Amino acid sequence: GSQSLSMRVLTGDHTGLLKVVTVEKKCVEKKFGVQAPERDVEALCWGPGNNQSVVVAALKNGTVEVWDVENERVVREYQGLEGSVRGLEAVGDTTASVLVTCTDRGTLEFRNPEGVVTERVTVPAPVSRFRLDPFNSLRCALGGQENDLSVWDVEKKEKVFQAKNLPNDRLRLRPPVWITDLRFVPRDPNRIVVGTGYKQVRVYDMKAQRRPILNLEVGEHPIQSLVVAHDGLTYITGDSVGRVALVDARKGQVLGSLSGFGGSVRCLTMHPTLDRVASASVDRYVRVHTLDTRKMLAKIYLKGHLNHVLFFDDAEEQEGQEESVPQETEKEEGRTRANVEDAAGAVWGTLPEIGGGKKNKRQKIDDPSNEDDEKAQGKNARRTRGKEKA
Amino acid sequence: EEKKDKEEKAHEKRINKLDKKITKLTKGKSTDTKKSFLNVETSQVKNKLKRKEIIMKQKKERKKKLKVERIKRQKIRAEQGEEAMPIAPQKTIDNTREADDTFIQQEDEEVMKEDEMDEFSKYFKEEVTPKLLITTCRRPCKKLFDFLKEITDAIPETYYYPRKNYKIKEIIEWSKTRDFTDVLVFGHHRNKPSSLIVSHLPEGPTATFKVTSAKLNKFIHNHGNPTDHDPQLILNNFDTRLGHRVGRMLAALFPQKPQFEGRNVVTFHNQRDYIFFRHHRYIFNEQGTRADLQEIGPRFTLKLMSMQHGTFDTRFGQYEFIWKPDMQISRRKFFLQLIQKKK
Repeated sequence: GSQSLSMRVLTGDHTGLLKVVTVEKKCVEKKFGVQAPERDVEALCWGPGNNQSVVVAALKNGTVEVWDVENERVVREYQGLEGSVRGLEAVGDTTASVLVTCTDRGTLEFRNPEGVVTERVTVPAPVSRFRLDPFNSLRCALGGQENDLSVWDVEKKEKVFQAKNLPNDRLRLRPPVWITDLRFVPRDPNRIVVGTGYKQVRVYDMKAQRRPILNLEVGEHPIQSLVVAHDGLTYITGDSVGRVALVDARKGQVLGSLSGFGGSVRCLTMHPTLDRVASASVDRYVRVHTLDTRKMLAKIYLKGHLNHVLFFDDAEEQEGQEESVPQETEKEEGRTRANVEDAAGAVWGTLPEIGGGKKNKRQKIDDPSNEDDEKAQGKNARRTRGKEKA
Repeated sequence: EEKKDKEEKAHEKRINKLDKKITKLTKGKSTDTKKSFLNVETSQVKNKLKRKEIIMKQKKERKKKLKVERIKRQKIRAEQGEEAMPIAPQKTIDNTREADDTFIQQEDEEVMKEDEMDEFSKYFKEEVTPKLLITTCRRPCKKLFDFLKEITDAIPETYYYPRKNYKIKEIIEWSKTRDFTDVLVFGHHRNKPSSLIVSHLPEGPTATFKVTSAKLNKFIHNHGNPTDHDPQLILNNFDTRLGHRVGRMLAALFPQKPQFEGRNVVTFHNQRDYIFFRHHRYIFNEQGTRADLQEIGPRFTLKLMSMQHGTFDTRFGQYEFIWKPDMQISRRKFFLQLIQKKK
């Protein structure tokens, strides 16, 4: 891929500072927020409708602040959230928007722009992660410690899917459950990937079964964050020691890892269009890696323990290597399973058939006079091979 | 005047000598001619013996070249004085360190504010006095006990509890109820103290160190005996952000206000990521120009292996720093210390 680095990233740290960083120049363009211990940034998200001039930050003291990125000032502030915020999403557009927050106590609240809580739902607690489906904002998933994955319909306030735990292990002990991060998989509305505190990556297919269709142990430490590549074929997990592993979705195997981390990786995000991963870790660095070569493009020191990272949607491309969104999706489509099979089918279709493979088998079983026929078949085979060569 | 003549003659003699050396070395083959082995591309030579020969000759030539340059520099120095060709400072691992972004500038507001609210801020604001709980690994050896005895003398406000079979997490829970500020767990390997876990309470970070070169009081020549005065602290070279945090952690083990009449000092000197612990008693001489030192107490070296958020929890804790051999550490990269810049 192109090596363009004109990317910007927004980070939130444990002291309450939000910083806009230009990856290429490795410099902090903007810095806003006040440092205070109760202003630990727990969650960040863009404004409603992915509006990147506005960023919403949920802090430890139960307030949610809406910041104007350009002018570096607070536009709105909502207070009174009880517990730590584990999910923060802004839905809608600039005219009508809803702020969705979910705390670890299981309080799911919908706020209108004035800050009035229009609805409050109680979901099973404790919640470690809550996310809205980015491809269908009427659906959300959540999970936590001893709180297995559940998917809810936001409109009807109903549970649509409840995951089931794995069967008891060989000592007949119930395997413990601790969901630390979860993501919806692009291009497959029924799949959810989950990372657990017991080093597992689990994939659920809601149409297939309640138990995970894949359960893979990755590394030796609890998984702190998880992200899915744009093609849906690779999952990237970050654990509490700084091991960021790439998992192949189809094989269910660890492919490799991204290197260069010194501490727990608390947040991973994908660039909206390119195959770039940004990571925020407790060792006070933001790192950007490319997925295709797995190289680290940049590593920027930001003084606090970083909790969260967001990518800006701007990437100036270099000349002659256009990777605008439509082309990107074409490329990615080229890699989906269906397309590969079609392509394969096309290739196989052009090859001429070597005579009577199936016939041969049938004759073997039925007729005692096999040998003559086999010889004949063999001759036939040689003849057809000759024909092919010709 | 005679002296001056002598000096001038000696000076001339020296320069002549250097000249002769240079001509002798540069006589005949110079590196620009075709005969020079430095122009040969050894990868093109297929014969192993011949290739080896050429490589040796190249080495010799390179060495000679450097020698000639050195003598020329000496000559210039002799002729024109020291200032014309100043001697460059020797390159050591310390001063050719890889630059580190996390070096703390003098008045970094963000760092200062973070310090005001980190886990050690209460100690530095004097709201909390340190109270340490020291214990060992399970089944400690006698030498570890002797070492601990000296540590409890060196660091004030330490309480030793036998480890028995408690888990470290249990010990931490218990110490929180008894208002301890830190838990120190020493481990041993083959009869020598080998590891140290420092867990700051109530929710402070946990650092694990590797302990080496532990030397007891009685094996130090002319050692002194510890008293129970609170020592002064010296923390050297904790320059990077991680170093700063480790430095604060070590400082938080000791009482904030030393008792100067005790005249004793504890030093944590960080060099190339090894932290040297020394405990001395000092006395100023009559003029007050110099302080004589007498070493008391144990002597050991620490190396930070990992730094974890929260109290001791190896399974589920989040690590701020963990030393891994596959970090591709170069000889010039350190995590706690930075280049000693000349002021």
